[in-house]
Amino acid sequence: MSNTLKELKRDVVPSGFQEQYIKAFKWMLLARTVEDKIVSLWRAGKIAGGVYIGRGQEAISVALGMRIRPGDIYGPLIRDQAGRFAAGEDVLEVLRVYLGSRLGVMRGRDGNVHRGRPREGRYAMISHLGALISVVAGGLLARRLKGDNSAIGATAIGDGGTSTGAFHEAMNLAAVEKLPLVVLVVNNQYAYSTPNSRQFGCRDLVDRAIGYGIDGYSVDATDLKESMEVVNHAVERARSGRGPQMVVGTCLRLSGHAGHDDASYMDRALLQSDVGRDCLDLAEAYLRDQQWADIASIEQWKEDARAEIEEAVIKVQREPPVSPEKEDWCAFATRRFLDSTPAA
Amino acid sequence: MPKIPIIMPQLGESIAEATVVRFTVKAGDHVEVDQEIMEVETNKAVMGVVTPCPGVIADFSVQAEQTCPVGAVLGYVEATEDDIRKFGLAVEPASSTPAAKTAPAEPPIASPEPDARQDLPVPVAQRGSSFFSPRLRARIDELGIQSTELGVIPGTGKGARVTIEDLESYLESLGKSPVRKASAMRLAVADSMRRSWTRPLATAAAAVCLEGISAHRKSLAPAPGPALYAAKALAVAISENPKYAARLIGQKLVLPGSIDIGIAVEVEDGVVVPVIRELDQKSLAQLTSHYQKLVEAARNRRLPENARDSGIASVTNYGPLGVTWATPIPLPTESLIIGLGRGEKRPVWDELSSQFIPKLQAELTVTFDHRVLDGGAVGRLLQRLKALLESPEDL
Amino acid sequence: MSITYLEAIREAQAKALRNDPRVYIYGQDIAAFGGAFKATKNLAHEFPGRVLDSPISEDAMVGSAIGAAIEGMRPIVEMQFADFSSLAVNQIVNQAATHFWRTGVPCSITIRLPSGGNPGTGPCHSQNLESLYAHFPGLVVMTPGTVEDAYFMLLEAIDLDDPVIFCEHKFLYNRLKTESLPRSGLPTGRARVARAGRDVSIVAYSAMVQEALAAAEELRLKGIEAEVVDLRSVKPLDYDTILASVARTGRLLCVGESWPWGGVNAEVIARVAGHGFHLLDAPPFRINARDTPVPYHPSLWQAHKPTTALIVSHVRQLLEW
Repeated sequence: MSNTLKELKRDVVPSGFQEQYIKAFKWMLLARTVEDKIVSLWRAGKIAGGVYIGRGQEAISVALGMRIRPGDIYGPLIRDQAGRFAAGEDVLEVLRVYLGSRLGVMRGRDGNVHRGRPREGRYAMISHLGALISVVAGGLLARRLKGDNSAIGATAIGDGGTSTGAFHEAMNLAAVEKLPLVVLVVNNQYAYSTPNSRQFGCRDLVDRAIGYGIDGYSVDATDLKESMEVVNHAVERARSGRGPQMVVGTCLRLSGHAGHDDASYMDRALLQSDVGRDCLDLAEAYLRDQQWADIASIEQWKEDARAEIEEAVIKVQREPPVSPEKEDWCAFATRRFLDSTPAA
Repeated sequence: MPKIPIIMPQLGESIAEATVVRFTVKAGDHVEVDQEIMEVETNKAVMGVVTPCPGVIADFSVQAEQTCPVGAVLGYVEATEDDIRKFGLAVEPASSTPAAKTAPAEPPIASPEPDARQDLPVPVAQRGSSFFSPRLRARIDELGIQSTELGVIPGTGKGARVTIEDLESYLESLGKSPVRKASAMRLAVADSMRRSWTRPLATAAAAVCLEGISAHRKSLAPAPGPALYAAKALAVAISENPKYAARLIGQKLVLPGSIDIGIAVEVEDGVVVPVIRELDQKSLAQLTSHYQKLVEAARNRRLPENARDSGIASVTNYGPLGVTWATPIPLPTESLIIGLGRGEKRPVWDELSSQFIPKLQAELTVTFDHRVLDGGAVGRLLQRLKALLESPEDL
Repeated sequence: MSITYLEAIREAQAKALRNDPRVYIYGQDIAAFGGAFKATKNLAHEFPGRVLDSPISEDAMVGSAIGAAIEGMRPIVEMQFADFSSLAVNQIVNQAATHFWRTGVPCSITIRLPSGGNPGTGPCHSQNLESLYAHFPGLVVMTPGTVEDAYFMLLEAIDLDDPVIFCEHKFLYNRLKTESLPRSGLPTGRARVARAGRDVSIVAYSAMVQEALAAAEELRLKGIEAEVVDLRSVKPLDYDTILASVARTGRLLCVGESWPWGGVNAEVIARVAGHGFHLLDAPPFRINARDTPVPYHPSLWQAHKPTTALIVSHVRQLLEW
């Protein structure tokens, strides 16, 4: 483990950082606003399935998402709306998938957080946690075999997901192959209703990095500045060929596991403690502290975010819905394999 | 001591099962060879079952009033090794594994249910000659052949089943003969007769003196033909005793309502049977003109609707065709048909004058559904018809 | 010069590596060691950097192949034994098989499963999993039963955009030989009539094709002409060829080495019963392995799977039905 945080002086702000910080804040804000909207749409019965939001971890997510360059591979998970926006997703695309528009990128075949655009390097997750990491690793392996070493792969997972065999195998394989993979492990204290004490036996998830033989960092994920600094650092190391990087961010899940979960099992004390601070509020405070933005501008940004989302919702709700008649019911890319006789 | 099974024997052709009536011995009794040990009842008779060999009755596996199939184990008799050898018996009970399964490893799955009765001469389950595979059915559908027609084809499949190869070679053998398409009339008659034939039909006959009719008809103009006299006589007989024209449907006898009688008319390539409603209510004079119109209409295929609907019995007169005697077939919806043959002068013994006197006579036959009527009833019907026909003024 | 089934597989991989820079192979012990069965012997040497040793991580092996396929590569994943693919079932059936359906991006991976047993290989080194994988939509499942098909179909597998589960049969590796490798063959999805006949259709695949042909020869001496249909791939299934065969013979016997409940035989029979009922003279029969794990002891192993003798006896029962 190398908590290279020691190398960074917290009061040194690199040039361009203010601009980056503001951008990050706006993405966080957009993520928070759209997710609030998604939850209310879900409660109104307008969204099918489960809704998973990243309330409380927008900072760490955006810190990684904003470092994605064209050509990089990004595999976001269920609480990465902020990262997705930073990596180029737009509001219409998000809402189209959630609201079942025929123009949605998944065509109704999968939905909600399972969306992606693999050809553009935005891999689409499945529900089995840990399974996406080896896919991102494989994408990087392919790039290398093609002689292209310019890309990094970035993905995120929660404290619970690190218990899976898939996570272990993927991390180990990435380490053996020395791939430029940055894995964000967000420990938001709960995996559904399971607290850390029932999830892992090691002292701290970052210690796993030692086991894999890779670099590992801890960061206070409630702090946007720290998150940006540490993630930047990890990404740079990956780009410079130092192999896989694991960044473990600590925060608190400020919602239930999903829309259908009231999280009554969560320890109220955590909410009152430092780990339970809202990264968006902290970032807003920091902006005002640093005088990089005043209350009026921030309120305007909030209003802009709300308006953008309202407009998008209205537009998407006017679009035709996914329809079974339009479905070709063919799971094969090779069309001639399509079963012409329905199963007896 | 080894136990020999007592098997339900084959008690007669087409017997598939029998019901245990009573036991004439009990477990522990000593039995001699060919001794009757129990009685069973088939649908024909009560018969005895004998022990396969001398010995001691071990036990019975069945009870009184139990119905068992031919070949079932009824009980066991203990016998000595000597007797077993002497009588050539097997100790194992009728095996439930057919001989066909000689695989070294028992087949793991999907063998058909082994049937202990497979080797018996009579197919007990719906197999053998009455089984048509889906493939055969599809083929005969394609060819427009009825499954009943398959009966004429020699079957080489299991249990004399007609296989697809049998059908194809049969059809091929016909291929050398000239072929013509059957007319719609021909097919209609064929279908009607095929359906009628699904019942057990029997025929009875009596000779009738036509002299009375010959004389009587001269008094009417136009003169009614013998068929009309027959039809009227039949109508009277049925109205006196409706059971003559009953139909058996399931477990019920359906009795005739109105006395509607059909009279067969030959038409091109077939026969049509126009029906005269309430024939018993009509006089011979009325019948004649009505009938003539119907014949004309039938030949032109322009029968009115009420003449086309089924009647309760029919009459056919083949005398004019030179036929003396025949066994006509009733329509499928009727249990009865009467046929009148050619009138000819025959020597009939006259008691009074102690000599043979020439008389105009014809054979009157009745073909009937033997499920509904027996010989006795039909005999009485014939006598009544004869009486009416020989005294036509009573009609 | 004769070529074995195993050599054909090696040849096909060599050809693919040679002609298509998108191809690489990932598996345990496949590089310098040449693979547990030598299916990749010398390939790492001939194609440096394209034949890679993986850690014992079947899940990550397949997951990484999926990612590579998204990026345009055509990876071949060698499972050391079909039996170990169960560690990767999630990646295979939930990611690879569904990727095209979900995202429109095909997942062009080939997973080679050395399947079936040899005497003594036991329950964890002898499995036939084609029925399991065929069940999931989006997977192509190949079951070559001849040297020619092992070669030709593997080349096609690599070429197909869909994920392919290539069930190569270990029993056939060194026992089947041919004189030369084909230049062409039937496309995947077409079954092959391995032997024409008129009395019964025996539908088989993989190692059971050889058993069926041996049974057909025995039956011929008894005056019974059996038609043997080699499915070649169990997904997609060539229902047309199967139905045409049953139309000729009126009787169907399906022989497969996987377990009885559900599976390839059941699928073929369900289709024939549904779409070819009017073709049948007798109910369709099937022979599977026994409904237990594959036994270890050679004599039990021999009695566990369908054999020539069992096929012969089933055909005779079928004809006497």
